[in-house]
Amino acid sequence: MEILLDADRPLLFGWSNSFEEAQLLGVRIAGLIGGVIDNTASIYEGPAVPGFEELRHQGCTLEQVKEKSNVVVYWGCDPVMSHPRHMSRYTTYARYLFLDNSFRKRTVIVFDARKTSTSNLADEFVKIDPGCDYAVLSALRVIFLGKKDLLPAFISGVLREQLVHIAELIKNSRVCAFFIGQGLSETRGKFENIRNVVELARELNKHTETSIFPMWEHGNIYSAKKVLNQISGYPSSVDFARGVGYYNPGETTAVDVLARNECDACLIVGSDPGAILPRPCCQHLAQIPTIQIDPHINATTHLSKIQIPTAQSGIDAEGVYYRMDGTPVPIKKLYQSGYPSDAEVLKRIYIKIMDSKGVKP
Amino acid sequence: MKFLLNTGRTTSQCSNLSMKNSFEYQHVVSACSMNPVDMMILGLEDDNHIILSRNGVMVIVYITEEEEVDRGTLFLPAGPYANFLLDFDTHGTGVPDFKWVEVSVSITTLDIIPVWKLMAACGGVRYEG
Repeated sequence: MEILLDADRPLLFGWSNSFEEAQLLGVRIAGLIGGVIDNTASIYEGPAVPGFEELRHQGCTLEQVKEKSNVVVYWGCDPVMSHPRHMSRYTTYARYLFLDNSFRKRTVIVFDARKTSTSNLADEFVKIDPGCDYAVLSALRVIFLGKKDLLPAFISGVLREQLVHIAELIKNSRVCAFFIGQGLSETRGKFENIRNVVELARELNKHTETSIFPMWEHGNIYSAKKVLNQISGYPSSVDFARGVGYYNPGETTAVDVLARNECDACLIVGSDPGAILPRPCCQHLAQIPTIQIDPHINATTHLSKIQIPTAQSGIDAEGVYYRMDGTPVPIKKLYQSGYPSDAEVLKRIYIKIMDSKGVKP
Repeated sequence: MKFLLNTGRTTSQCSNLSMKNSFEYQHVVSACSMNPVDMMILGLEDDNHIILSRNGVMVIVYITEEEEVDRGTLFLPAGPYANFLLDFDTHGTGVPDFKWVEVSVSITTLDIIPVWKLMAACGGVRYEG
């Protein structure tokens, strides 16, 4: 608590494996001490957030995808590897009410810059040149606008006729679900790629029902984004130094704050920046007082000054997790251990900070 | 020889996430997939160690043959070894370039260093508890 109070610019980072209750306390602590709070959404799925916010795309639940979609598009993601239960529960291998023999009748289209385990299962695989997703997305939009003759024969390594064929498949579908991954959000173009996908879905909705799902990769990242959005109005990377929330990707994002050696203390909850952030960020974490609240000993533990072990979500701690479509799922614990949950640890820190600041609950 | 390095998730990497200081995790995230033709040109065989270097920073990983990886590209599971090579420049988006960064490849007989040594190279101190 003293480390956080003494710091001029504390950073509170992580939150993707914490329950909603801990995330809420984290935002309150950041507001009290005037720190920067960021979650792992800003690094991995980050570009998806401004892309979605700008165009206000309305999604649906995964059950609706399971029951209604007959065309599924995976763009820049490999769910066989990253979300092993996804295809069997919600898409390719999931049986549903409105289509017999769903495995054979549901069309799977994969767009990626490399062959993946998912592309081996796809009915159509479109191999894009690395970093050229934006051009292919724009070409698809041109085709949906009925101006395919304007396109060259090859678009970033993709044959125009293949794109026209895929556009017809999507256009004639009953419901089409787009699943977009880090292959799209982390490659060249970043959030502009996501913006282009949302524009594409908007165009497609004139022909068929279309929905987009970012393939969030961390356990409870949707909740971290939602909680921060509800309190501050921004989904990630919020700076409370001015007394109100301030959000500017590239300035208040954790990677930039750490790489500029800006923060002088760091609280890490439910994440492992040692394994997910670039080297210059890890170097700064090793120089400043870093506190880690996590059930595991991981790469960040070697960079931390203090490590507080906590209970593992879903094993010996219970709370609420959010699925990637935004559906809340209550998680029970299996047994009672002696460790406190991260919410309990944060609550004690929060109360002490309130006392020292003279703030009444 | 220059290659384009791509990073991403794999099932075996995710299944070892709670044991990041274990040899199993180190073995999974330091497995660099390369096209067999590129391996032949470089005179490499499975499990040979290579140095990936970029902007004066280098990391040692081992090679696995993967026909599905394109020629001129490498695939390394997301983790401390891949991120050690990354720049912090986010181009004003908050996201570093995780995909398709150019790296140099050279053959070595040096050992792969464990995760804690990578963190020690960043200024950290080994936690032995």
